[in-house]
Amino acid sequence: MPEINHVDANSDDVVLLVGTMKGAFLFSSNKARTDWTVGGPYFPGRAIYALIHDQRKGRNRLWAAVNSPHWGSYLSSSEDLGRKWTEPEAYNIKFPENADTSLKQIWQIEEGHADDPDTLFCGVEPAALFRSDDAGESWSLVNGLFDHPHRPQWQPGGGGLCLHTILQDPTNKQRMHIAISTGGVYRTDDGGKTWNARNVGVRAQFLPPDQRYPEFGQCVHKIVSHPSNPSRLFLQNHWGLYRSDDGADTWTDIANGVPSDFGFALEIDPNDADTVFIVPLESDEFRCTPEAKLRVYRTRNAGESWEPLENGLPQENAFETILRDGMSSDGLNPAGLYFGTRNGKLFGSNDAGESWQAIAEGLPPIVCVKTSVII
Amino acid sequence: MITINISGFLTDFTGGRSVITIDASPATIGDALSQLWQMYPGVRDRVLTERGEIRRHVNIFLDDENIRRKELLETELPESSEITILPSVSGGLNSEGTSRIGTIVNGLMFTLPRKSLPGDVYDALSQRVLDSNSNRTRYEAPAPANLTNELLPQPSITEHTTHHLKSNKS
Repeated sequence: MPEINHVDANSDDVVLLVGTMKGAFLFSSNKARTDWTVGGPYFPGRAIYALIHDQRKGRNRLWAAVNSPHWGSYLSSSEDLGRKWTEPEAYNIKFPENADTSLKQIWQIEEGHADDPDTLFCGVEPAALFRSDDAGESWSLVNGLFDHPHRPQWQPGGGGLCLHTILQDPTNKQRMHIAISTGGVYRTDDGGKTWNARNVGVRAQFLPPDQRYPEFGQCVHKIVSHPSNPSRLFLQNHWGLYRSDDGADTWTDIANGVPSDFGFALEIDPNDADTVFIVPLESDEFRCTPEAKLRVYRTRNAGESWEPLENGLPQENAFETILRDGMSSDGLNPAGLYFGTRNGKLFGSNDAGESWQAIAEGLPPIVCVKTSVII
Repeated sequence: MITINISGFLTDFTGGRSVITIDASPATIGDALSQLWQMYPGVRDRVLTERGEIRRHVNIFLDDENIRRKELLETELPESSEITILPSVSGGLNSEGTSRIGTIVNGLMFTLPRKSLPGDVYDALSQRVLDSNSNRTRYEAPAPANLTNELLPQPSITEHTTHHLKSNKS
């Protein structure tokens, strides 16, 4: 097994949580975000699809979704930035015994509403949502979604039938959006008891022409929203780039001038609800950056127009793929923006995308990049 | 008496024991495994799904036979049987399309049971399989000639740390 290094982090430091197909890594820096210390690999050999740093109620708790094709999936936590991780005797995410399915992978971990600092959510494959109200000690299936009549018709996308995105509305604890590949966007307005498909205007390119706007079944790759305006959402689809201004009731195409509207990664500027970042890919058949140029595209007007950001990024022979959880911002001002590629390269910007720095390469395929600013 | 052999990772949940004996005479593989879970509860969820099924990429051998069928847990257990729990290994092929010590069937590599080889040989080969699985290499495209360290840091984390990163070893 490889030698494992660790990072230290003090108040105001930035920590990148990087999940790869063969373990997790932590990168730590001060507010300048130019020099990075690396920790890991943690869980060598395991695919880490989701990471989160829970600092609510004075915690310093990392969560990792640990996936093994042989031994199953579970959530592990660390209270000391990765020096020790829990290895639960009994797995903590399980479908009930009477369910018609069993857990394949854990795809997402998210904090609950600010009023519920002990609440966590977890998205899994096959598509389902789990909830914990005791800070991760115990978990239960959200039956309102699991029992949805659409569920038998959801189909797996290329990565599997996964619930990969969880957006808690910060202004309304009863409202949450989730995204499923391939099921589409669903919203609850009653704390998870009932859910409604919210895909009007979103194209399903893989269906016959007269069926391309179904009620559900779209292959949504990612959705984001800004805390200051949670009714505005952005959506990167399996072909299609959209914005909603009415809480996902309807969606409008905003692929205005991007080299491709296919892609996965999508992130919003924490300091500006109109600024969004994407990394377009050429097509579903050739999931690499167009023209072999690694470019992040940014809109500052909520999708009316887009501009490429390439300063410091390779512009030749860059056949890169950035996945749905592969890009993240840090919440500082100017925002730090980070993304990882399937070729194991990690890039960062400390000026909201104006310039970029290669932080690491040679990592295993990166599937998850999350950020945390130490309180 | 029943003997249960388990592989490296699972011994994290058996106090390091790789050979476990059950003095009773369980009637089926399922009964024997239930006793194993009672002795070492941490093994259970690694081997079984929440529906009580053997995980897809875990192989159970009864003596020399790989028992991968739906009725696995109901398989009758002769006295003095030996059960071996091993991870299957997909991929890691050599150029002939066969694995190092097993054969690919339907995309899964079935490793040899313990009794089929002398113990030390089995252990050595089994470890090779486990190593090849955990360190399996992926396809690496040749580095483009004009994509060099002007834009990218050094090619490994170890070297990288000397230029851009500080490393805290524990």
